[in-house]
Amino acid sequence: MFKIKTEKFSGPLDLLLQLIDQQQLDITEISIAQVTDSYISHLEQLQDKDPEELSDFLVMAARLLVMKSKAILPIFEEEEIFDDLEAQLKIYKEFLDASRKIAEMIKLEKFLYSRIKPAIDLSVEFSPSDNITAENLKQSFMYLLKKLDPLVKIPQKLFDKTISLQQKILHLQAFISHAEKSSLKELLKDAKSKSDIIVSFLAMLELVKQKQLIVRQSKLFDDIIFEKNK
Amino acid sequence: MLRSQIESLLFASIKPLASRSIFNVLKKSQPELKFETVEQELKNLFVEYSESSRGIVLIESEGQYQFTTSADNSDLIKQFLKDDRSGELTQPSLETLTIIAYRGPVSKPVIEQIRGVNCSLILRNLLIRGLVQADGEEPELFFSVTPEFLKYLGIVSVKELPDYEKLHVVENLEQFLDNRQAEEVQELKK
Repeated sequence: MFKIKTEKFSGPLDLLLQLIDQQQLDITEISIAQVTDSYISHLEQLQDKDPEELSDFLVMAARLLVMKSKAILPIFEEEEIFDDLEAQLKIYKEFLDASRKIAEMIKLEKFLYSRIKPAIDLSVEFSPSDNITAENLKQSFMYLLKKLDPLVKIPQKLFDKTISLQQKILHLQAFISHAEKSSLKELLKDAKSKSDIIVSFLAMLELVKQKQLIVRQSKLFDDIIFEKNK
Repeated sequence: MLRSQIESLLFASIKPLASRSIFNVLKKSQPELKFETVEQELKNLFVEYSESSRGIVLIESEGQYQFTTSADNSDLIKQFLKDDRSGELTQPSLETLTIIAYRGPVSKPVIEQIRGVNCSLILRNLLIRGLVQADGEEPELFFSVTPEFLKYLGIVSVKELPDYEKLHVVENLEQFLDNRQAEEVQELKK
């Protein structure tokens, strides 16, 4: 397993590129599918990421899993599953390389200087105009606070949107300890969003990988039945 | 005559001047003047300064012009003005800035499609630092780099960036973005 420090990559594409690079592979669909496992194992290091960013990492994990299952299960080839991750990765790499060149340019510190406003010599004194009254100040302050509202409220919404993988795994473990046997449909009954479904599915796969769960599906697109591995 | 007037205006101004505002100033005394004429004279002036080896250069970004000192004398002026800025940016900021510099004016969804990750915070930071500007109305905002960015890099136009022509129009990228857009439209229809 290749280890990469969390702070060293700037997004899911950067992580993916680094994993491919470390195994000295070219950017192809096959090499992308090959690094899926190490990509997913890196998700655990991401707990302290900003929730919005974390969900981008999870969406990428889901795309990788679809690609990988497409490679393994020929049945999918008939379907029109088209994910241009390879193209996206190549484009991203072009800009990443360009950004390194720009970083070199900035490091040279060849700043250009334009004219600056001459400093005005001001003596400090307090001379409020007539319309500055206690009531006006209060009004202005309330107005300002109100303008800040959307800034403060949005992060909370984003936070609610994202569910950590670890949390979902715990939830799933608790879920099967009660039920012994259940199905994916049952598990997704209360799912609130797309990322919720993706994370639940990832959590299920993770538990299968850890051999805590056994899953069964009688035919294609049937509900997936899972039970505790004893 | 017109060229020297424009040169004087640019010299007297402390801020970068947009070709449109130069035109508006000149129109007051010359009602017959055409905007295209002003634009053409600005371009001529830009070429004139690019070809000279003076201590002053003309920079241009998104139709905004400004006189600055030349990159050859950076160290001297840095010392003279006691400027203690350093040339460093974080990796995510650099990536975002690079995309905006080569692709600008570019929308937030496109930037995020290329980087594969949400860019709200980084864009806000770059706006605060004055390295990028946003034009248009939410949610149709388009980002481009500012004259401040050019001055930070020591170039007179984004066209001086390495491989500018190649990355400004990347064929794969146009196709890739078109595909993504088609996909999104399809999803909306469902």
